[in-house]
Amino acid sequence: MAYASARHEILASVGLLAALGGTGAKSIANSFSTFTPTAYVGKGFGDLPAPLDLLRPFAITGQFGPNITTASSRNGPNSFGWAFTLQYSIPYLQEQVKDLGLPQPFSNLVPVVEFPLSTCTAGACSGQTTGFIDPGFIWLNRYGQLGLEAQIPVNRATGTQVGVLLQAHVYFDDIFPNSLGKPLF
Amino acid sequence: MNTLRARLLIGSLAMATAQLAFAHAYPTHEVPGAGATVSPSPQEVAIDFDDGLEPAFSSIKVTDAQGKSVTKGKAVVDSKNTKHMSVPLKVLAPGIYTVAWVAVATDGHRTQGHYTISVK
Repeated sequence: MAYASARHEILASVGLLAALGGTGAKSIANSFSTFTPTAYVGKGFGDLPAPLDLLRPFAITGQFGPNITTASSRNGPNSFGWAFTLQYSIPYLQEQVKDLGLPQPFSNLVPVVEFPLSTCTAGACSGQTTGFIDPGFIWLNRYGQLGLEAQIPVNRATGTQVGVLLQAHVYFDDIFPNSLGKPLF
Repeated sequence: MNTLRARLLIGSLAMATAQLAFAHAYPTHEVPGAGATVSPSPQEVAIDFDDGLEPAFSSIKVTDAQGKSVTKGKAVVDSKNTKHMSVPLKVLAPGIYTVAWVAVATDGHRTQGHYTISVK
């Protein structure tokens, strides 16, 4: 983690993503590897003044990094990955702004729109941006979260058909804090 | 015990263990609720969490618009129900008050939050 401020609900961190080539199903997997040093940033709007209370449950996140491949520019061009999300947390609204008495499952919902994008930086596709707009929602509790989003191409270069994303996260550190979920160091 | 029965048993134990797991503590119920307008002055602020709390490190502070504390003593975690924390209040004049809570769950994870209430 690079920076955190609880008062202003800001978090920034860095990491490294690695997609190892030659693994997985040959029909969809790349033969080359891709490494992405990544910067992550998130900002909640809980520090907005009182007249803007209903905007406090909003949050935005960003993720940026160059996708560096082990392939040639022709077969696996480098690109720059950039992604954003805009979220509105119903749990935050009910706990920290205004308790509307919403019942389950609505009280645990976080409507979200994600924008995962990538701009090619080498080869024949240099300068071209592809990506998706993914509107949907996340339902979460203390043990994990489920997400459901539509996947809408931003342009023809990305595709022409709408897909669907289903996500399931299990919080091992909360379910198995002394074994599987224990920090490595 | 055959293999299938052993696997089912392990699976069911895993689910049972998950129910007893510790986690970050978040409010499930607040009295008065976030953003509530109340009259007359409430005698206490009480918050129920979704996990047991460490009394020594958990707290509720209530302050007026000038940042001055309006509580009568420290917040208390119920010894019979460690998910319940409350703090008694002085008699409050009409106005807006800020409730700031810190919850340290029994596994050491710390969460915090704040909301306002109005007294008529």
